Amino acid sequence: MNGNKSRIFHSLVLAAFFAAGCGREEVDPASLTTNPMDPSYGGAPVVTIEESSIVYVYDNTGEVVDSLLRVTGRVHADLIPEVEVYNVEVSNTGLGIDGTFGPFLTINDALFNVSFQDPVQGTQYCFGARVIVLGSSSRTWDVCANYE
Amino acid sequence: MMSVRNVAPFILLMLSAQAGAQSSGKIRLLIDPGATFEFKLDHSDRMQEREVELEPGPHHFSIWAPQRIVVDTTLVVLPDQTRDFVLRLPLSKEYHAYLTEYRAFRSRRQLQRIVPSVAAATFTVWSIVNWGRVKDAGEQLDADEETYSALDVPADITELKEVTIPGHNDELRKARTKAIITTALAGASAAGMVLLWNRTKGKAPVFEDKEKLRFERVSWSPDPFTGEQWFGLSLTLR
Repeated sequence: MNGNKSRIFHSLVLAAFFAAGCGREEVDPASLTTNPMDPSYGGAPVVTIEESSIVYVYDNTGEVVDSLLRVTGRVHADLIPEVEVYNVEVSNTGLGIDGTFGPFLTINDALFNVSFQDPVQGTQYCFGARVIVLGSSSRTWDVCANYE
Repeated sequence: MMSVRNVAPFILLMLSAQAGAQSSGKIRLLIDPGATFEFKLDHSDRMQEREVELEPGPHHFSIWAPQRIVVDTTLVVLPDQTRDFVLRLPLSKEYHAYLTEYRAFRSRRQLQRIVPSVAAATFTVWSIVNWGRVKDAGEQLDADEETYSALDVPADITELKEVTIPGHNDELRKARTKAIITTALAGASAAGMVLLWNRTKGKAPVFEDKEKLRFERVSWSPDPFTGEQWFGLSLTLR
């Protein structure tokens, strides 16, 4: 191999490796937001409101003694990676709501109910819901219902 | 009446006839180096034969071969006999000096060529290794992205994003920095190698065979028959 060919070969080898190595950029962790179990997830909500209804409590005389706003939440199992079981944790510290539902299997959507006592008409009631897998939690989705 | 002047050619003719009646002899030259030696016979004829047939009596031989010294000797030819003359022509002082100088030159040139060549090769291999590491680090980050999509435990995702990926980003950065530096060094050493190779071209010492010049020098000698002087120039027969 003469000097020119050697130099060309040398340059090509280096250029190939340079191109192979330079093409790869670093990964910005903040740009990763597609996994629903990621606390930074930015896609479609995993927990949504399914329905809301008013439940009245009557006494023996037939008078209403209590009322509840019951909000049914749905966990969209198709968005959750295939885990064996998960729980749903709800909270609203302002209203003193704090509870855990489950365990649920990921093969079906899970439904759960949260009740607000003595709702005031014309008020929106919300709670936060998050999915718990092996003790760690996803981001929190706000689930809200209006009492009209 | 015949004058001395008229008789002289007859005397010369008789002398030469008497000389012709004598039997010639042979000299066999066993010279080292056998393939390239030459000799001048009686300061005039330049020959390359290994065997010469001569008139009896002393004859002068100047024997020479490339890179050897000229050896002058007189050999006596005996009638009807073949004599062997064995000689190993010594290397000339100039050739010894040339060899020493050439070996020094060769060592110097090898050093000047080998060091940058080894450096260029080392840095090239090193940079290739480092670019390989850059590629590996990139592939590791690709794997991290795939892992991110597959993870189902939030804590694992957090660890991946806060510890693992930044660590692999750091490895990619370091590998790329090393690769760029070693590539620059490989390029610089390759350029240095080319420069030094070009600089060390065509500067080899040249052997000037002074003994050859001495052997081939212009010579003259008086002609024994005419009393005239003549000179001749020997030409290389090879």
